[in-house]
Amino acid sequence: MSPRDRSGGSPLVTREDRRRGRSPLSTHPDLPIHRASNQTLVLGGLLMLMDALVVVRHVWAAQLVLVVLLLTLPGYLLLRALRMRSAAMTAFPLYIPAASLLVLLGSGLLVNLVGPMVGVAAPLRPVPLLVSLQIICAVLLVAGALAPSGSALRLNGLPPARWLTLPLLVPVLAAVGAIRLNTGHNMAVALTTLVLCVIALTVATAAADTLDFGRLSMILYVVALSMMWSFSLRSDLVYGFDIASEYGATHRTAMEGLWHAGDGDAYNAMLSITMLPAQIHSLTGITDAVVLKAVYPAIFAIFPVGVFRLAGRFVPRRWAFLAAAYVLVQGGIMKQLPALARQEIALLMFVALLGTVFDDKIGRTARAVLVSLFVGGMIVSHYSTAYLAVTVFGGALALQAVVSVVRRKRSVNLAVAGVFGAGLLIGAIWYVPVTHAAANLTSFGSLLDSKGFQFLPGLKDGNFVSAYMKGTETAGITAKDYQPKIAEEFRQHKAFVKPHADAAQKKYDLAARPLPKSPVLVPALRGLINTGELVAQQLGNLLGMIGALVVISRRKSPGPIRVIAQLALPALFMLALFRLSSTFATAYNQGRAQLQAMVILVIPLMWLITRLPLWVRRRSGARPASLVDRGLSTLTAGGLIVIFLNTCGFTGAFFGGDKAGNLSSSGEDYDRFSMKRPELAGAAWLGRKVEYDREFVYADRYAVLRVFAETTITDRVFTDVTPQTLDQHAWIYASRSNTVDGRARGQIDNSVSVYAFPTAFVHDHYNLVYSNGMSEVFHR
Amino acid sequence: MSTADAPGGLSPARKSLIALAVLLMVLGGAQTPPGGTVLRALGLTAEPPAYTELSFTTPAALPDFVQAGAVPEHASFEIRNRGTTAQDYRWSVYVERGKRRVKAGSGALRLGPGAARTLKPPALRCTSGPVRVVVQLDGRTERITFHSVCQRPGDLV
Repeated sequence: MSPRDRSGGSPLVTREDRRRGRSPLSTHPDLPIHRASNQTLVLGGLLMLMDALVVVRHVWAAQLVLVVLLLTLPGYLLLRALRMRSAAMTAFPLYIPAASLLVLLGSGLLVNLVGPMVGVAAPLRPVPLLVSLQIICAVLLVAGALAPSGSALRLNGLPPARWLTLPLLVPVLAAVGAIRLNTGHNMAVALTTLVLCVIALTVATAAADTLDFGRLSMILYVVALSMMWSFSLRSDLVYGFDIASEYGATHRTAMEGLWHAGDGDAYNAMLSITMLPAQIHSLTGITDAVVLKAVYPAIFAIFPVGVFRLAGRFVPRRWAFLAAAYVLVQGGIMKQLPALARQEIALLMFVALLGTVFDDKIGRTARAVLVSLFVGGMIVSHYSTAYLAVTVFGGALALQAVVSVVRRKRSVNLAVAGVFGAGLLIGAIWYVPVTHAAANLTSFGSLLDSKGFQFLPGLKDGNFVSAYMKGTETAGITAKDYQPKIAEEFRQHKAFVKPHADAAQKKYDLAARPLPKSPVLVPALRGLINTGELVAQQLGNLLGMIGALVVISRRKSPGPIRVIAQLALPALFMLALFRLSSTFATAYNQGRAQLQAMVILVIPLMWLITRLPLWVRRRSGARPASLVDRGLSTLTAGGLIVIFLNTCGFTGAFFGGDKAGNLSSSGEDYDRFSMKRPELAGAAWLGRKVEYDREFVYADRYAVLRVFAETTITDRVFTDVTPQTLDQHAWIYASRSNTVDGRARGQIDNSVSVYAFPTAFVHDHYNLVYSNGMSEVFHR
Repeated sequence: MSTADAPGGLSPARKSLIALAVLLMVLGGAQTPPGGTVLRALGLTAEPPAYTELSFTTPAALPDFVQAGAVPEHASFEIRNRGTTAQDYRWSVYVERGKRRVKAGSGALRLGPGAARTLKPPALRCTSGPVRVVVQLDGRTERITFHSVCQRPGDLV
């Protein structure tokens, strides 16, 4: 076993290594000066290669190499300029892509600011972008040229070539499976990919003791990417809810070649869905939609690797892998994140931030700079991720202050205070004077004023546990109940909408049109697995909390894990808040908050489990600790695999019921999220005709994603297409689900209704002004 | 022993570079016409869906009143072929009142891929009162309509 293995992912750094600035990974003595200058030449050559490839960016092979270069080279140059040692980079590989994104964002902001001043109207085009990026990279190259040899990246810590290449065939297969489903083929390839992912994860959990960090990281990356692509590559455009609006923001920025700061729009304020994808699109020639649906997942798939490497600093490798697998299998990464481009980037920054805060292999100055940069990267990428992160660090700081007072000993951690301070400062600058996008905070305050806390909306029968488990998730409501409720909602809160006089006539009553149900082979088993998944998640939270409390209360807990535990408690508090309050849940979806918080929570959770065998042995002395440890890890791994079978769509494929969008070309998810070209053409036509500032647009919750994707219409859009909520003068966009299947979807509070599209009413009162066989536009 | 340690063997980095080179060659091949044929055969690409757009050119200005026997103003419509091959179209215009339907006229045209043509509706045959004017492509599902009130020359306005 190498020193690297024994140290749980943190390569042992000897005093001699530190003194000589030498990497412990390398079996060679320090690189001589001429080797270091050779490396500078190689890096300079790669920068020139980037220039050349941008010229031929219409060639797919050039696009692939450009993506790899853009996501590694600038980041490495930045880390090298900050004198980060090779050992730190290889022990936490997420630093490199995260730092690359920082450099890209920085170069983009620079050219976006300076370009218009010097007469470049569209600075986010290839030439200005490349000039800006090359200038920054050249400065970093020069700044890093005299870095100690320990900063020179050495590849001899990597797994063998077959481990770097063959596993990548699985995501390729996942992409093939998704595309074949799009082109009308069966799910055989997609299902094969799922089976391979299940096998890979099972084998890896079983063999986590024998596989090294590099191989286990590769497995996590491959499974994460495969699962993400299996969803994200469905649809003719992007696949998912939020990503439709995100694509709209990306496309507008890319088309205009300029990012507008300060227009107050929350989406426009996030560089992760405006400037960054526009930059990657311009520099690589990859379409903006493909950047969001393929390149972003390829970047984000390193997130579980980051969790693994972070946890590996606190718990043994096997448990660190289980921690990362626990985060990976919960569905958020595979299903939600590919449809949340902004959070893919923000969460990556968040993990990079945590990695930096707890990395003792980085010098103080470099660490302070990187912490500020990663905090900044997170803030400009996604406000909710940033708000939660700053709140968690603020909570930990408050906790430390309390401990300081109680113990009469300074317990405030400077890194935590630094993150909190930087978050507040950069956040205040970014959201107020730069983007004027702090409205989401004020609107949350208004919502809290008007609707209150909205405690546990599911608490109807007095069963608190059931209501808490259900949280703020949506429930169903019949068309008969939905119609009067939504009509009343419009009367009370949207009185400016003037419905037709005859809208309440009996003949126009909403009719039920339930979704076709696929038979479930073993309903009890499906129900059990679904419940088990939720229980496992909440049990994880509970054990994480217990672990955090134990860590904090033990005097001999090491400093870093004590800080992690102090971060875990406010994170848990926020999770409980999102689950208990509908109002807070509107500010940050509880599933996404859970994913972000899990990065921190899994560490005390796994730490607690690893301590159990020792405590059992101390108490009974009967069984060897390793046996209990083995039993616990087998139990945990088994549970994770069962959850994974459910969340990846495997159980749906074999036990019936609703199939996930990665295995099917029918069903609710597919109808909502898979956008067809004729549907998009209809939405685009609508976008060219509407007078945005004064006309109402209606599109139900099936159709509205096409409108968000293809137009800039964001205000005055209503998703309740019912006779009593349609204004007398409005545009109505109808998608395939409305026109072909005759089905519509509406929502009030947390209740969703699926009903028959009110075809008769719409045809009686509106002109049908556009038709293409799959989508229609009405107007009056 | 890792591959890197094998005496005389290629380092992981070099092997990875070779694998990358192979991948780039495959990508390069896939972008050629024969590669495109292979991708189609594998179900990885498909012809873009062929569809036709039928729309009013000024949807916000459709006439509230139409004159019997006259060509309605602001009611021109466009047919756009969004397919990859040329298409023959036959269009018809009807005037509907309740369940009664009267054909006002029809026409035919051929449109190449991506081509569009704007057409004016024919003079309408209708009696006084509310009507619905329907433009449809024969033998296809695309149709557009507008509500109006038919006026005969002697009607009081």
